This record gives sequence, structure tokens and C-alpha cells, in this order.
Amino acid sequence: MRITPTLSRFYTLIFAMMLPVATIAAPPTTSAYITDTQSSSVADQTAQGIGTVNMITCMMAAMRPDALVNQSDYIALVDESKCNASNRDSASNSGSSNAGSTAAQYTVAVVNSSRASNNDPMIGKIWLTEEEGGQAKTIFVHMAASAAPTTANPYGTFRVDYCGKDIGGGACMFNGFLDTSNSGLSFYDQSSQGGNNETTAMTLTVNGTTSGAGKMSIAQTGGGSPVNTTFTFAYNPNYFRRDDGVTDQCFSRDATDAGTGFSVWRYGLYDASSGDRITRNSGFPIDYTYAGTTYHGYLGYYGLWLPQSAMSTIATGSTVQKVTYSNGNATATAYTLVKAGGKLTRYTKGSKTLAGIDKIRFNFWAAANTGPAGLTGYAQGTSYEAYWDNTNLQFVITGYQSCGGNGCNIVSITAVPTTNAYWSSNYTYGLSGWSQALGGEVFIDTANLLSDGSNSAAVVVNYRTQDLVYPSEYASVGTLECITDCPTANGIAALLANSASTPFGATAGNYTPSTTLVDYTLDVTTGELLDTTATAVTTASTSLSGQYQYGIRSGKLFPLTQATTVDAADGAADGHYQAMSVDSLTVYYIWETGPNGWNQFSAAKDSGGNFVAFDPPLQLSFTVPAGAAYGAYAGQSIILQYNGFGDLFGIPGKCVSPVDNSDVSCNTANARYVAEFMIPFDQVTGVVSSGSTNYLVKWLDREIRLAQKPTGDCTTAGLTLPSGITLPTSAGLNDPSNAASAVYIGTQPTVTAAPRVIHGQVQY
Amino acid sequence: MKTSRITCLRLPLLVLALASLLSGCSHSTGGASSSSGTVQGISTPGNVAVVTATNTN
Repeated sequence: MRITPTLSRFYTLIFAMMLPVATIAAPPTTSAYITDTQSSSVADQTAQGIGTVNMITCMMAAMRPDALVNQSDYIALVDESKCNASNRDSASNSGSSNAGSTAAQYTVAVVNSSRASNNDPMIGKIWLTEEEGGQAKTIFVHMAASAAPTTANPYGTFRVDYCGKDIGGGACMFNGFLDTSNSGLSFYDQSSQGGNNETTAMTLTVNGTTSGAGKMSIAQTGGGSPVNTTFTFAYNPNYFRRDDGVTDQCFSRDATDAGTGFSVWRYGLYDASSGDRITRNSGFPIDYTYAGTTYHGYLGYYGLWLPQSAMSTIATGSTVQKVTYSNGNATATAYTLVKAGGKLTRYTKGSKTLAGIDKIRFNFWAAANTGPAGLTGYAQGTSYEAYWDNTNLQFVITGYQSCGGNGCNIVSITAVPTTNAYWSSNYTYGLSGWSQALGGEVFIDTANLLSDGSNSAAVVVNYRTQDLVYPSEYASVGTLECITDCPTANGIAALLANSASTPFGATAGNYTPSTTLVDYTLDVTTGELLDTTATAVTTASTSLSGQYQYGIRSGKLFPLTQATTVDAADGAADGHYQAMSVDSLTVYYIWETGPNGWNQFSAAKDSGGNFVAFDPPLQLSFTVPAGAAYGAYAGQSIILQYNGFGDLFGIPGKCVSPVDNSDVSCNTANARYVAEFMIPFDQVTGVVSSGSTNYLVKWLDREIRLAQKPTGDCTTAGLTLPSGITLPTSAGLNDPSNAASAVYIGTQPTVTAAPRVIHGQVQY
Repeated sequence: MKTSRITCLRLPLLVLALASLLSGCSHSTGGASSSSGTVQGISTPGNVAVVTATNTN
């Protein structure tokens, strides 16, 4: 057959249509990726006065009274770590590397939500139980809501009254109310604890969402001189003005202003094709019964959580019930708990190059006797912050870590460029450090860095993925060895007795070649790490402080079978072991112990004696988009970790001033620690990958920091601060725990059923 | 800090806690929620703040 040109084009077209399509279809419009709601919120200095009420509203929303209305009393577990803004953005987060602290901290709430009809308010009665040091408190909350928040009425119409007091009675230790409507809000809170008294009152009058004005007063007494702070504020369609009694600040309300800051506190991860949420098998709720009382808890990758009074009674061999949900019902299956005082984490090597970590900041422990030229105040043993500048082919030091009673933070310094010869001669066995953007531990092979830095694309940078080691794997790990920072039972005892500054004895910070190794054995039965006295290297002491306040972490441990490899890694198999040589291994281990659930190992064994394993965090690569909004990270590839829906973390952080939202050093008073940029909600640039699998990212809860403007801009715009605003008083207080009160919620009901809500997720 | 009294007293030493709502004004959760029966619940704000931003989309 003769094929005409027209027919040829036709066949070409048909053939082309038969070829596989390279592009991935967009997720369906009905998928979670498209339909999951996003929430933006302005972070402002005035939030310091309404932290209590935001904590309560956040926790209330996580109890889902709206989803279980008229369904009798139920139990909700609320992850207070997700509602505690003051901890979440603490500047001390800048100096810590403890990812385990993402572990949930659940609070148990009994909830009753009711509504007589669709024309009546929804009434929520909530009993929140808190424990500290064996002392339990109940927070009584009464909530009446008659309109949900909308864009036009961002507060909704609702009132919440609360009182927190010791179980057993007494006066309210804190008592307050929040009353909102489309005309504004009124807030009053008074608290008295430990000789400290604080009263906060706020009035906000709004005209739709376009303009408003208000005042907030915070009065503190006890524990020193009385402190009184008064904010006045006002906004019009374009500007927000706020005066804290010291400075008068003007901000643009326009989120598209180049100076506006964005940080995301919760991301969702979705299948790139279906748009379905990506979930992880990261844990499950449990019930534990002791002395006739059933406690509700949670067991997951980061350990066990139970109310404090139950935590002290549970031990290896205890029975816990795994609660599962199907067909709308909860069923329980018995498991045996294995609980150790510490946990072993495996670190497995991955590789990049120095050029591939351009501008990505990391912290390193300064082992060299002398510092690089130009760095004043150098101190061996300090942790410094630095990055590799691949444009100028040099390391640049940008800060140092400062630790105090409230933890550690990074103090920014004027950037100090360094010579490559410094690193290749002082760190001949490499540079060990930690980087959020690289997923944790990093090792840079500085020994092979040329003085002109021209081989940066060939200098190896190792990073490590981590996962939990179960006792069932201990036999295959074998005896472990340690060169530096090797904790022992005696060392921990000395630290706790204040007779030593570290739990590591003579191995503390030992970076000189050692001819001896510290031996450990692993106990497959108890899950513990044992030192040479066969004593468990553990502590549950809550008196750990300073750099140990988040627990004690060992140096890098390696199997005895790898000792010859470690010995030879420095080029001489001479029985002298270099701490840095451990980085040459594909796998090393770190032992961690401390008082928190996430410092310890907890797992459940089924009736066959097999551990129920949880998924470790999923490591993901993200290529930061180009653009000024991404700063020095634009175009770089960073590593993120995903614990489960809503928990995507690893974006580098920075500190900002709560007063004017500008970038500041993290040791600045009241500095906030926030993510440096946000992953865009975009099917091209908002993509992360694990191997060859792509996922879509969507921000769900985002903070907006308004762009600061000259005060004159507000004045020119006619925006003035209000005067003569009347604040609410204690006369407006109600006590939901008082039988004589109109908002009395009664005594706490007894609920035996498994939790129906776990932090916003209705289980059944 | 005031919030520590609510949580209270158990200051969880959380370092990298990510998630949820911050100080600010949540305004995308409007509308009544689905629920069993004929009576629907009302969603509540996860937090409140004194100002919202414009042009957020």
C-alpha cells in the first residue's frame, strides 16, 4: 500500500497517541489534596496576652465537639504539644537537635456536646485532666457556640468560660472567659499560682474584617516588681498599628507585601496521582488498667504516653490493650509491654557532596585547638553554626551555640569566611555536625578538600537516616563499642550528684586517638544497654538540665565486629581509634536515655511474642524553589521528615522579633523560632520525593507575620490608636465548676469507652 | 508564660513541635459540620487574634 503524506501524518498521530504519557495527571478535584482546608493566621505580639485562650480554643477544636454533637459523653485525647504556641516557637529550639521531642503529649478530656436544634447554640462541656508531679488538676470548660467562623466573621459567635483547679476542690487557680461575635471580642483571665498573680483583659471592636480597634492590659504581681503592659491597636483595610507602651509599630495587612513572613506549622502530604492523604503506621491508642482504673494512652514510634500517675506503674510485662476501630466500633486486643529506660537508634549513611549542600547551615562541634582566622572568641568545644558557600568556595561561620538553664540557642555573629586550608589541616578526620536541612547527623570529609575548594563537587558529605532498633534485633547487632562521650551508670550517677559535669567520665569530648574502647552489651530481654558492670545505662531523673535537659545521648557506637575497620579508617591499623573514624561506617548507633517517653523504648508484643513495629519517619527530598522568598536556600535540595499526616518537618528555622517581625539573633529576648520559608501549595514546586516516588505537599496551618512599615504610613493613612476603650472586668467571670453558676457543667462523667477523638481525628 | 499554666504544669520540653494552630485568626473552617441525626454541630475557631491579613490567596 502506498502511504500518502496525509495518511502518514494520520499514522504518526495514532502512533503518538499510543505512546505512554510522561506527565502525571493532576489529582481529582474531589481528592483530599484539593479539598483539605487551609488556615492562615496572623502572628502578632498581642498573642502573648491571649496565649491561654488560644491554647484552650486550639484544644477545644481538636476535641471535635462539632462532629459528635448529641452523642453523649466521650473521651478525646488532645496533643497539647500541637496547641502550645509558646513552646513551639521557643528560641531554644534553635539550639537543639532532638527530633524525638516531636512525640505527642496527650491530655485526656471528657467531652459532652449538645444542641437542641439547628437554631439553638451548640453547648460544649469539657473536663480536661492535667497531671504534674503526681498532682492532678481539672480544667472545667463551658462553651456556647451559635455561629462558626467564616471569612467575614473570623471569630465566629461563641463564648467560652473556664476554671482550672486542683482535683478535690478549692478556688479556681485560673479563671476566665472569651466572648466573641461579629462585632469583636472580649477576653478576661485571672490566675494565681505559686504566689504569682496575673490578670489579662482585652477588648476588640471590629467593623467586619476591614477595620477595628482595641486594647489589652496584662498585669503581673508576685515574684518581683509588678509588671504592667498595655497594648493598644487599630487596623483599617490596609494597615495594622500597635503600641505596646514602648514602641508604636505600623504594619501592612497585605499578605502580598514582599516583607510579609510566612511559616507553616502543619503540612499535609498526598499521593501525587490520587491526591489521597499519606498516612504512616506511627502508633495506636492503648488502654492500660491498674488498680481498677483504666488509663487511656498512646504507643508509637516515639515511645509510650500515659497519664503520669499510670506511667510510674507500668513496666515490662504489663498488659496493654490495643484499641482498634472497625464498623464504627472500638475493639481491644491484649499485648504485652516491653519498656526500657533508654532506646537505641540506628544511623544509616546517605551521601551528598559539598557542592550539593551549598548554603545549607549545619552545626559542628569545634574540636580544633585554634579557631579559623577572623573568628574572635573562639572556644574549643563550642558548637558553631556554618555553611559551605559554593560560589566563593569556602566555609562561612555564622553563629555559635549558647546554652543556659532554658536550653540552647544559636547566637548570630557577623559572617566569618574561612580558608579551606584551615579545615583540611585542623579537621583531618572530617567535620562532624548536625543539620536540620540534612535530616540530622552530617559528616564532611574536609581532609580531602583542596585549598582552593575547586573539588567541592567531589568532597563527600554523609548524612544519616535513622530508625529505632528493637530488642529482637539486638542479637544481630552484638557487642557495641564507644570511643568518645560514652555514658556509664556511674557516670550518670555522678552527673546527677553534681560531682561531674557530664555522664561520660574520662571519655567526655575525647577527640584524641584512644587505645581503649568502652564496651557495652545489649540485653535482648529488658531492651537495656549495659555497661561493663552489667548495669543499665539509664536514668529517668527529671533533674537533668542544660544540655541534658532533653535526655542523655551517647557518642557514636559501633559493633565490635567493626572495630578493625574503625581502627584502619585513619590510614593506620595501629590500635589507635579516632572518634571521627566511626563516620566511615555505613551504620552506627546512638543510645539515648532520659525521663521522657521519647527518651525510652516502649513497644508491644503480640501473643506470639513478636514486636508490633511502627514506621520510622519517612525521609523526603525537597528542591527549594527559586525566588527571594526562599533566601539562601533557593534552588537547594534539603531533606525533610514525615511522621504522619500533619507532621512534616525539617525546614531550617530562624528567629524573629515578636515586636516588629524582623529577623533577629536567637538569643534576643522573647525571640520566636519559626521556619525560614514555606513549601508552596503547587503541583510543580510543592513536590517532595522519596526515591523515585513523588508526593504533593499542602500547607494546612500557616502563620503570617505582617510586614513592618514606617509609623508615618499609618498616620498618613489616618489610622490612629484608640483611647477610652473600656476593658472587661472580673464581674464578667463565670465558674463552670460551681453548681450555683449559670454555666455549671456538673461533675466529670465516667466514660469507659475508648477515645473517640485523637487530636481532631474522629476514630469511630 | 501563661500558657504553661494551662498545660500546665507539665511544660513538655518540646523542641521541634510542629503543627496545629498558632496565635492568629483561623478563618477557613466556616460552616456547620456534618453529624449524625438532623442537628449539626458548629465548628469553633482554633485560635483568635486581633487582626487578619488581606490578600491571602
